[in-house]
Amino acid sequence: MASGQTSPAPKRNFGLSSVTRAINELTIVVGFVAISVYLAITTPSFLTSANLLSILLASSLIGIVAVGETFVIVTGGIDLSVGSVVAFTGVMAGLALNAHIPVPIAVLLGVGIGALSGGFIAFAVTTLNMAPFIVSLAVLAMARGLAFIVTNGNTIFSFPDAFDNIGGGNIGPFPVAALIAAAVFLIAGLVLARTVFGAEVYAVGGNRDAARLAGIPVTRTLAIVYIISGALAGLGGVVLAGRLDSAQPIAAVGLELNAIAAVVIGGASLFGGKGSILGTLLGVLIIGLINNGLTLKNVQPFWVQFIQGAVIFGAVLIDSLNQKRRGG
Amino acid sequence: MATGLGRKTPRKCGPDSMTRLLEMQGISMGFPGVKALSDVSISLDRGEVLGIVGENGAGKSTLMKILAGVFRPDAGQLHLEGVPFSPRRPKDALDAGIIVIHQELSLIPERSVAENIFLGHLPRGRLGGIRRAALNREASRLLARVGLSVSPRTLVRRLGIAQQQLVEIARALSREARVIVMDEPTATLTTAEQRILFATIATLRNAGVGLVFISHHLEEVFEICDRVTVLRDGAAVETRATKDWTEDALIQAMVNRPIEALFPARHATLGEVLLQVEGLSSAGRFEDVSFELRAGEVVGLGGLIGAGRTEVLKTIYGALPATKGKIHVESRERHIRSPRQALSAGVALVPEDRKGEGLVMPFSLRTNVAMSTLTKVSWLRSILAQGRIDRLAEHAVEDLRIRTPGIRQLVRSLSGGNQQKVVLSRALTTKPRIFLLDEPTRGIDVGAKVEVYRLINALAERGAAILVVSSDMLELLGLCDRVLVMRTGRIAGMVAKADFSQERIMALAALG
Repeated sequence: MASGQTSPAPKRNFGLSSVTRAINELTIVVGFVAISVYLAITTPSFLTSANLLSILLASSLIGIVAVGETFVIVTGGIDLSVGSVVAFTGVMAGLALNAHIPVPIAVLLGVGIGALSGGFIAFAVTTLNMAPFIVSLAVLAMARGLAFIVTNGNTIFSFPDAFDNIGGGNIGPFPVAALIAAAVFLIAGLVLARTVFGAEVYAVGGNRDAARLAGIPVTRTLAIVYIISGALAGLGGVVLAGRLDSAQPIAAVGLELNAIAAVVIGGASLFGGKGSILGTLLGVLIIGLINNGLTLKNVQPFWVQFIQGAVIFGAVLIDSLNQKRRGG
Repeated sequence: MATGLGRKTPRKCGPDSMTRLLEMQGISMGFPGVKALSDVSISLDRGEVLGIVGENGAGKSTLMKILAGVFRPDAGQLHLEGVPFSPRRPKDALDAGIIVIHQELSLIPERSVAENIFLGHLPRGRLGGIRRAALNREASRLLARVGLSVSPRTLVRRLGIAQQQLVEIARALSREARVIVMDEPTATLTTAEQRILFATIATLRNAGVGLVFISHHLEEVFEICDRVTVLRDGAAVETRATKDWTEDALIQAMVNRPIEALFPARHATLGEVLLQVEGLSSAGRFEDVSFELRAGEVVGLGGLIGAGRTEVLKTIYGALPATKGKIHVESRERHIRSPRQALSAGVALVPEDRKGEGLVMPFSLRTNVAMSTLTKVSWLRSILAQGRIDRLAEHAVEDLRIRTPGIRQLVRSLSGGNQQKVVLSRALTTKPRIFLLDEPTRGIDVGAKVEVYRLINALAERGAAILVVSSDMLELLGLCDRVLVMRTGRIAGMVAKADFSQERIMALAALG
């Protein structure tokens, strides 16, 4: 039959497809509940407010970065640079503070450098037609390198209290970082689900050629998502530096893996066109629970890496099975 | 029983030459909500070409996928040379000598012709390495048999579509095919390439291979097939020897309605010039294209595949760069550099490739319809107004009579005709006056075709100008006021309605 015809999926695949669909929608919630219940029963220290707040605090950094990553992944791209950008923007903000630049400007500097780095990736992807995977891998190395260059490999520390409060302070019982992350999630959720720009992000990821012919500004949309991702990594750098009252060039190594895993666990497809901020939020919390559980149970750090990798593998496997069911 | 090309007595090649090569009996198969095939029986002899025709959705491809081991039928039996045969996987069918050449070619672009031919059974040396010399020698022999004169070392991506098709056939030969199925093999071929393909089919037939030939082009079916089976709505309605069919009888059997009803009359009056194209060129694609479109006019753009028709449309639409020339829209010169600018200038394009360029397949009808007018269905041009989007989609469904369970249905699950209506309705949302339609009825059933023709007529009657690229000669002649014909990147001539004939258009399209 002609190319436009969609033949129904072969019958014998139905068992598998319904299973993978169920996995996709339910694992997020069921997985979250299951891990929580397991940890609550087996480790008495899990359900203490101190521990829960520490999960929230750790999840804040991953969350802020994962929101930007969600935009990129929904367009079908990827941004591997975010971990390094967190480190680089953190030390840049720290150097600015040590040069007695006012806190608000130092914060803007961190976010702005992140946005610039995203803009660089956007330029390479849209204008030079380079693959996002490779470009952002290159920026991962370059940003990390710059972080070492500008600090000579040293840790920058002792910042004003106003700055440290961004990452480590509390408002009432809540960490400021978690409130910032909540605001980022809320705004991003509305933007992606309710605005013209959000619809354009989905369309570009769903079928770039069709989006372009339908009059959607594909280049602009792609540029903006990488800038958002970079800017949020910059915000992450500020939050992390504030929380630690120090900025290190080796900070946030491998953070991009946690962020990407959170997005994919949240139901986004690395093939583009699918994903949501709410899903990413759940993904971030699951990653936070797993990391916390591994710490509470005193699992060897070597195993922590392995388990995180296995979780990512599982999430991508589900995405891939779903893609196959749809027939690509 | 035979007509068409001369043929020899079929070679005996089975254990019993009295049994038929292939029989499919009482095949039924359903998908959730659809009865795809009900009680279909076909048979094929050695050295025979069986034509299978039918509208889209009639069940042709499903039937062939059962033969190829892709689907398993709910009921019915297959016999191969009298022996029961139930392929469970594509490999079973391949091992039994059943080769299906699909519309979408399955070659690996970055590997050589020879490697593609022997994919899956590469000749191996004692140490497990590929025996290159033997591979290329054998490949050359097979390429000669299918009349393709390229080096077996050529990368497949350097070949044209027709040449790739011949490579697929060579691959079929490498497996000692008993049955070869060709699903719409000529859809993208030029006349010369089609001749080569038909000569190859004749050679295969004379060698005792049974062939199934699926095509929308009835003249080809008449030329190459010994018998023709018509499928309609999942049932085999009739099988006759080719000489007992007439073209009218065949169409009648396929669509179950008279042919005159295909092209409704149009009552449009010609108005001012809406689109003027002067000396338009796009380097390496086409040169010096000039024409005018008037309000109320439907102009055809004919020519062979690869003549540059699609490229002209895309260049006017700003999706490909123009290197020379001027475009006037409603008497104003426009420099259109992106589809976005084209839409705001009042020019809309319906692309040829629905899946690849027209629709976002995993998205809903609603989202696809709204995609070109997102800022207009929003508050402050930025926040989506869900109610307005719903109404836009509901109007589209109503106006174009899109058959769908609802506006949130994924376009992937709509039929080809309804998918095309979604693309058309999106084009309408920007209220353009100039429509560029690229193969607007390709791959959709006759009922939907008529609805598309009616829509085109209604648009022309309301004062739109419409440029239609089509490879369907009947469509060019039946639908258009005049036809521009392209050949190798240039406008070769124009045929006015008074002079319409297939021969005129073919002569302009193909001759020097």
